[in-house]
Amino acid sequence: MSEFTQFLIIGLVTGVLYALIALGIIFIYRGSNIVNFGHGGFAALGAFAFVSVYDKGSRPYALALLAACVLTAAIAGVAQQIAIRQVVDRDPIDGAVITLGLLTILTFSIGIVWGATPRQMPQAFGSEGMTIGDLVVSYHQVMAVVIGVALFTAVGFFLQATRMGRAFRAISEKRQVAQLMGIPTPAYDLGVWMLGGAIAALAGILVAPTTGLTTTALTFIMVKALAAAMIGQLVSIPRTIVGALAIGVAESMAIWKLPDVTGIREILAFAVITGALLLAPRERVLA
Amino acid sequence: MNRTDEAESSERTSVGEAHRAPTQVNPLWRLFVARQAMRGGVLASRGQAMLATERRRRQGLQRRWEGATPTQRRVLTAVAVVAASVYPFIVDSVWTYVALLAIVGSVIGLSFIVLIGWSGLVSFAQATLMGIGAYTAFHFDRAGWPFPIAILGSGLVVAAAAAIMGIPGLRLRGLSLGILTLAFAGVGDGAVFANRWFTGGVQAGAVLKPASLFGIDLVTNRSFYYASWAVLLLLLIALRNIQRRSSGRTFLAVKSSEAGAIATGLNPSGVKIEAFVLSGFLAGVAGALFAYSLRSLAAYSFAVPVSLNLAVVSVVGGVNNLIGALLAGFVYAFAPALVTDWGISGDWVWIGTGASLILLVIVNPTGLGGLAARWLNLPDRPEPIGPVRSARSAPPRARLLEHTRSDLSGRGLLLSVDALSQSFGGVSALRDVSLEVQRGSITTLIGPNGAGKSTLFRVVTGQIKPDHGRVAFAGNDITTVASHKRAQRALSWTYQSNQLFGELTVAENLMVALHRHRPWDILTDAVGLPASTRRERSLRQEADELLELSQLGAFRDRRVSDLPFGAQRRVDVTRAVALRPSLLLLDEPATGMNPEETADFGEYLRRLHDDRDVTLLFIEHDMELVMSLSDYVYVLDFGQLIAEGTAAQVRANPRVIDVYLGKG
Repeated sequence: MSEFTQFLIIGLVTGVLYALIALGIIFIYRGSNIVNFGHGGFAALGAFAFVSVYDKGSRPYALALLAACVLTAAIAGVAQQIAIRQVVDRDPIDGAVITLGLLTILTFSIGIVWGATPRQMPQAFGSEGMTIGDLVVSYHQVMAVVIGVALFTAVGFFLQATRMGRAFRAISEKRQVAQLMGIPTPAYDLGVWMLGGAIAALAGILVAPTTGLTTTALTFIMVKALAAAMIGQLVSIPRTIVGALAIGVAESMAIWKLPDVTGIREILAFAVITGALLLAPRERVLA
Repeated sequence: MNRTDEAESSERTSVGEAHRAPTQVNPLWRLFVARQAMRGGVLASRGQAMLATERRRRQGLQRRWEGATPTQRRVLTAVAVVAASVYPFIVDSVWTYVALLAIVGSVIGLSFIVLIGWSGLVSFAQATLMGIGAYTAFHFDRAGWPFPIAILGSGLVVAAAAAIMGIPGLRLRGLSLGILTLAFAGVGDGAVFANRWFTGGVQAGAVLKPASLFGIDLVTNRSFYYASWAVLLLLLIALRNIQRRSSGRTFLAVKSSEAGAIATGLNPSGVKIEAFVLSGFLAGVAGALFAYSLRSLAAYSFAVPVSLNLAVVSVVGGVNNLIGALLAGFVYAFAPALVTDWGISGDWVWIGTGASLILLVIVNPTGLGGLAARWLNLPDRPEPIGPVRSARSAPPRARLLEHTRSDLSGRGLLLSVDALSQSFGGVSALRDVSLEVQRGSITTLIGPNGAGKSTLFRVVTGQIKPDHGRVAFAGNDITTVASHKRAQRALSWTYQSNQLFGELTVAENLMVALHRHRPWDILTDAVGLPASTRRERSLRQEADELLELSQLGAFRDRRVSDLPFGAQRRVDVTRAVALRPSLLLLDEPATGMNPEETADFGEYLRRLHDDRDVTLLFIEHDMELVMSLSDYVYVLDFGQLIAEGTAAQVRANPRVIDVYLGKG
């Protein structure tokens, strides 16, 4: 197998991971108009909670995964009820600033609960993997890709084709009108954040073996995810996936061809965001 | 419940109260009872007495603290200055170091104030900028440059970096800009601070010599503390100067309304770049101070999460008031130090900071600085320069009334629109429209909804470039000239909806228009050069003259957003007049006015035209206003001119009657 194919596969897998993180950001943005900068924090919370429940394999992987998602969803729900709910009628920027506060609280709470010592993030199926030519793709990564694809489809279908999904979109577009149409907005607001939290946790658990289990790493990957999400203007799931895959592949190729340029991956992300913002039609650029 | 019942119930409650100690009853409940009694019409006098007592009590509560008096403020300032001066002599070196960090935090807070508070921009890369400043200071130090040069140099280098960061974000505000700057912070982490040459190599590390000033090495924390304080004080004075002068107004103008800024001849992109540059300079200075305080740098001090944390602390401190920066600095350095000193993990401080950020956003978005300002009875912005009250009593000088910038000696063609066509996605809004405006005339453009009037307005003011045709003004082709440049060239306009600078006062709105902003204004303003002060005084005087002309004197120092609608309209037109236009273009100025206001407004337009020799072109619905004012009328329907002529001619034109009244 050619070197090119290998780096392409690595890039695509990385891209799916970025897309997984981006999906939660888009979901919350579409449901509440708020850019959730705390997303990386929720992802980290999910991953750390997973490690504790999994407890080096003493409990089943699926159980730990479920428990971590439920816990993160609950905490996201509490955050929504205490903080986000207070600013639903205000400028979405207020909401975004609140999520910055959430990120700070989550990051340092995780520091207090789980300590500063770096931990190993367990993978499903241990360290085994598929061999494609000279390249080993771990079964965990294969699973991440499969779950990712399933999740993109499910969320896309939910938002686009179900009654509840339409209600989500109606609320984020014209809250008062949605209310007048009889949509129970408070329940939906809570639902958006709880589901968003669960998606974040799932993404965190799937991504952390690759990025490393630290809050910094998961905050950092959020930047890439945001870059991908900006390509879809924080709304379009297909375009975000394309963007995420493109970023992943571009990074992988850059590492292959330009190994000496420090920070080539970050420069690429900045370039992608800049490009996405500059090429977007003016009226579509976020406030 | 009928009246007797109600009266009885309130009677019973009152009796019940009398048995308990009446003074301990919840005041709200007392008020409620009193109201009930009043509504019942029984025991009214008693109820009223209770209400009066309640009112007195409430007033008493309010009177307890109405904010500090000027004397109290002076005493507080003096105490603060003395405390800050003797501080390093009462505490040990470690706590002096904490104070040094607080100064660094304050300067970072200032950089956020310029961006968020003044300009409505966001940056999540201030730690990155600060880091670039810190390492630049290290390179200056290694090259043997003295400390003041290193600080200035770091400021300038980071100002350039901030401009690079800001340029792609010029058309963005708010969240998109936040995401863009976050990506820039990522570049800092991955590329800039991972560059071994820049960070001094892995083995050597970035280690600085002690700062030296006039040949004296500031080895101890104590000596460097005073140097840092001096820097912070200088920055505070400079920013205060800017706030009080035209460049400060310019920032707020662009923040309040970009469209309004363009209409007054400002280039919003340029002003935003200035904000980025100034903010970057401050972050660079903060970085250099940080470098000389630590004297040993590590890249993780400037990582992406730190940028986010700095944003959090600065917003907690408050970005509307310079005091906010000092409080942000205090929280940034002292809160973790104090808490750690008590044996609690510093993580808790950050959790507390995050929680207070959320609380403040919900309860009081102005932050701690806003609370302090209220407590100290300080305005959000310092008092502006110049004779704030005196000018009103002085008779207006006739200078402004006598001449305008336009050369109106001759009559002739002022504006000509030639064969203009414009379509939007296949729908044509204007088809081959040509019209002319003669100098000194009052020309009107009328037409039913959707006729293309507003499209024409947008083409003439330069908001859209036409598909075909050209626009000439005072003999020059301006078809491709940028909108704000047209405003500088004596073509002035008001939008259909007010685009006033809501955060500025009426006088300040006019002052923005009266002054042609130059990028270097910010330097002369910061230093407070006498020329800048003189300019402020004369601008204020000119604004006063315009206020006299427009009979807006009573609103002079009121925030525009607090004014009634009719007055806002008048400010809008007066602001356009302040640009000394030869042509004033008004897009449906009388919309939303009642007949009385409209008549009054027509009077005002007539006076502007007669006294100041302004040529008027306006788009209007109100036929009475059109017919009473216009010398010449153009009628537009479905993107085409269907009639033109004097008011009387147009009124008699059968096609116009068809369009307006429907075919009989």
